[in-house]
Amino acid sequence: MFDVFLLFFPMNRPNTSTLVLFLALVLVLLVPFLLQPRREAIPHGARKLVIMSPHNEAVRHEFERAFQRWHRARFGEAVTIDWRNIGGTSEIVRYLDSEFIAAERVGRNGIGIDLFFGGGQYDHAQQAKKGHLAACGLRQRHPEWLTDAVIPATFSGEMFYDPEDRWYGCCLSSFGICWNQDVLAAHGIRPAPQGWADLADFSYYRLVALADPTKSGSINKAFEMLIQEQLRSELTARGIPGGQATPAASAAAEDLAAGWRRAFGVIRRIGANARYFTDSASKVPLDVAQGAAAAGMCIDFYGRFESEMIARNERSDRMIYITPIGGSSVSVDPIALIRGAPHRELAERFIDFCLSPEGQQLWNTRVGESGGPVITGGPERYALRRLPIRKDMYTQKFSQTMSDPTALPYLQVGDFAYQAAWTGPLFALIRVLIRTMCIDTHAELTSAWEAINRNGGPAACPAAFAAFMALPPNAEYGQALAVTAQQLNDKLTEARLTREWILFFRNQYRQARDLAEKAVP
Amino acid sequence: MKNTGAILIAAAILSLLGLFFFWPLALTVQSAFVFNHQWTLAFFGELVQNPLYAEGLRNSLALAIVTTAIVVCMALPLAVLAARFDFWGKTWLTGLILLPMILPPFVGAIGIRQILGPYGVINAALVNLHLMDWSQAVDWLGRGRFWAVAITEALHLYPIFYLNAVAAIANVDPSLEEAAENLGCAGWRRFRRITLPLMMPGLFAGGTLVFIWSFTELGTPLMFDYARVTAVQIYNGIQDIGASPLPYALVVVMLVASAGFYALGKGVFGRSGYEMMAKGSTAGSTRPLRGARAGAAFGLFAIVFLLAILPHIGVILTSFSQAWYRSVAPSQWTLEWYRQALGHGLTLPSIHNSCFYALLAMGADLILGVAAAVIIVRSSLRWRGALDTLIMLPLAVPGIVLAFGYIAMSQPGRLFAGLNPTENPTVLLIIAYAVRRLPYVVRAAAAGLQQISASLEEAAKNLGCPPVRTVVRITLPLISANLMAGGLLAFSFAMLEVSDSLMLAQKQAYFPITKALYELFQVLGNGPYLAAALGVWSMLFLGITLLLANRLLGQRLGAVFRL
Repeated sequence: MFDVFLLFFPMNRPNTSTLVLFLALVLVLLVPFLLQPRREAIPHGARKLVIMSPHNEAVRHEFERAFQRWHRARFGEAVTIDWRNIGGTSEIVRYLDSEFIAAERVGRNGIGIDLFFGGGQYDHAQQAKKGHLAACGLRQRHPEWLTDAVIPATFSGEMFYDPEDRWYGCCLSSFGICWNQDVLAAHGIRPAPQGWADLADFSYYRLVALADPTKSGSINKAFEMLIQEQLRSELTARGIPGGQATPAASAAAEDLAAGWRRAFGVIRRIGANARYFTDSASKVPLDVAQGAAAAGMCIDFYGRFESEMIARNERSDRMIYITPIGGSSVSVDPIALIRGAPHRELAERFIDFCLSPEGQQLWNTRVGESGGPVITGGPERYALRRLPIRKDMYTQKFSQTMSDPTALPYLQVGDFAYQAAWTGPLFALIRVLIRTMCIDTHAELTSAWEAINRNGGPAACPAAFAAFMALPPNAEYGQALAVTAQQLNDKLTEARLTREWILFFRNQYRQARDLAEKAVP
Repeated sequence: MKNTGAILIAAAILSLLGLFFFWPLALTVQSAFVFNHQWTLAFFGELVQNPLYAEGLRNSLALAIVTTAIVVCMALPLAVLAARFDFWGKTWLTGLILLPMILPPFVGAIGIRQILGPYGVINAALVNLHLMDWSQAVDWLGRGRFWAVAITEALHLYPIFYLNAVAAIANVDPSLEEAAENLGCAGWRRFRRITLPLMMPGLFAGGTLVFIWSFTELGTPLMFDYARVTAVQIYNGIQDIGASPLPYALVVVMLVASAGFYALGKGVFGRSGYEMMAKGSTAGSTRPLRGARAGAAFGLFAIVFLLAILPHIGVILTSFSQAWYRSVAPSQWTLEWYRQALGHGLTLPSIHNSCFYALLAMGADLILGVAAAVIIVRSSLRWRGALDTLIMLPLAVPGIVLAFGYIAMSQPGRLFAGLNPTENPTVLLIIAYAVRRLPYVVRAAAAGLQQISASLEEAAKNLGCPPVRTVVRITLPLISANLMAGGLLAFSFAMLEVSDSLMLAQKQAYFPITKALYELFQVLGNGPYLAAALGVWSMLFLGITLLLANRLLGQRLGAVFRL
């Protein structure tokens, strides 16, 4: 047998270098052992809660630790959380859909998971629509929380909780603009961007990092808010009385159509300036901080945290983040009870904890602070940098222990008033239109935009610019759009429509490029 | 090989492939064939009519051809130098040359950006040398994306070709080359007319793997934001919240295309296997290089190695940097990221898990791979070529597609409900890793068998050696260099597997290293630095393992089977 072993593994006699390598391997393996933290033992008989979540390890760690303490103090029982993590929200959504189909096939009601914690409002609403969520009873247990003074039902056009008690927002987030002052200065861009439309200027060509609306309901919502902002601006420019808060009924279709074209003109030019569209939340602020992009669209807490980290570690003020006033809605990261939850009572307690002041203060208290209720204290290891959903958390007392005391989402939305009738039914269509207009045809889009500006700009190439800005007839606002939106309910029709629009935009951009090259300077 | 035995073994392999590759694949892509509860090819029709997908396929093919060509030009001379010559530093360089393939996921992009970003190392060096100022910073990542992707892929994949080429040269019978030289055929002519044809099976093995990998590669095009390739179009389609079946139709198209290209390549390059009777009668087949020639050999290895590890250097420096912006090197250094990452509660269990999963997967691959190679090379089954093609297909399927398939096939009520990853994903992860890395071992083993004469095994059987003992005592030792090459590749890439790890390892206790990397990467602010630190640890671990293997076995790769 040893002969066989040597035949398989004919080895050199170990020499010094081999021994050195072997010792190095032992050392490399030893280091993690030596640095291992001491673990708290799970108490015997602890009740278990199963939570599926896309939240990062920081959120999971802090909420588990705090919930354990809260539950022990209130109910005298130990609990442990079995976190299920399979990646981002899109993977979780596919997983839930697939598990429920399998459960129904074998006649089960649930899928062995108690809660869906995190992800966007869109994803939770979709799960509720499919019947995968259950009413959690919060409105019976704590009706005093579900008021405009604490947790409003809607805000800036966003739903903050489900009217049928199936999901509740836990924390807030919005999309804003981050930029790198050094890159702006190097490219002579002044002033710094204050609103989305600023990113449409050609001076930002290939310098903008954008989030991808096709990969996330929250990002698609952010683009919808951009459209709403441009619609309002167009109505105001046309002198529509009370244009900023005009009910849909009194806005003429022609005015809304002009606003729609204006909005997609802005989106198209921002897209033409984009280096990329990404679904990675951290990529944009990282690239902007490192100078790989001049400006970008990112989630508020990522932008704020990166800016602070650069300031602290490098003593540099190059990275700035703002939430454009009046140009961004505030969305929520919800929590929901999954149908057939095996540990329903515990799940309901976790929901209660998340929306209680004790749970809410975890989102934005600094590490090591003991402000807030004595039971849990502040975060132990990570500052989560998210904003609580409860309005009554934005007080003088709490702000003293907050990581971001100047972030006041309920005030910073400005006079933004979401008009559901304008774009609400077009949510899916907006995603498909942006994808075909900017993402799938990005090479042709950037080529045309560069050609137009190299040959004098839109004013010098009106025909080219008109071709560049054209929309397909069935994507113009009005009756055609409503019909088109209905067609997107069918996947095959959506595929055909996507192909049709891709061909349209490719041809338009190539035409625009050719016309721009022929334009007389 | 007797047909009955071959049929039984082939049937077993096909059954395993059917259960653990085709069935999960079918579960995921079925939505591309069924619409409104009816079978349809309408989505395929949409693909054909959409010019973007045709362009994506063309770009993917172009990338594969160019990348493979670069790899052959880079790795073949290195393999010849390593196998046939001695020069100063060879022992270490031949080990180091393998390191570029162990770039961990997620952090590679950080490394590339630090080197090639507008405010990265290269531009910082140019500014420091007063060759430009920051307003003229070159966007290396944004220009010439096709060539940037091709060169980066080539620098990442050349070790695959190199390992197979070295094993192939090790199996060449030097007496044939000596005979040619005696007849006046020497130098480059002898290499072209004698050595290269004899090496062809190994070159085909390595070239095929590189071609199919680069045809279906996702990570590098994503890193460079090069979206007009099929793999990225599939990824974007799957991640789209619209949940269209179109990307699954594209998966099928890519599968068929990969199988077609493989079959074509095999027909053109893979048929000529010249079996050799003996491995040579002379001991010591390497010639020493001196002076300028030795310097040139060293220089070639060093240049390729240094270019290939640029991303790794970026990751290593990032892991030690407190601040690194507009400078050639970090301006502030720290060990804090290592303390946090290696001391994290996720890290130690993930290391243990990864080693366990990868070792078992490698073991399974070696057993199945040798069995499959014996069928493909030694049997007279008429459909052995089809078996060969089917075994290669796991390379062509995006990991996320198979991962969803594994979840679907282990749901309650299905045959493999007992393997449900929600409770314990160990078995499913090992199966997933083994299936996706099986092609490496099969190619390596088949290449070795093609170079060994069957008469050696027949002689053993004539002397009364039973078939299984013949394989163990005669065949396996003769191809062990190839098996080591294939096994090393299977182990390394299993350790760095991404999609299956992310989707199947749902509980922290079962996380492999790649999942731990992903988790650390998500930590707000410091995440990329923590991931870089753990990534460096992973590179160190895998790198030392490869170097050790090379030290213990490497010198034997070329010479152990000299009689």
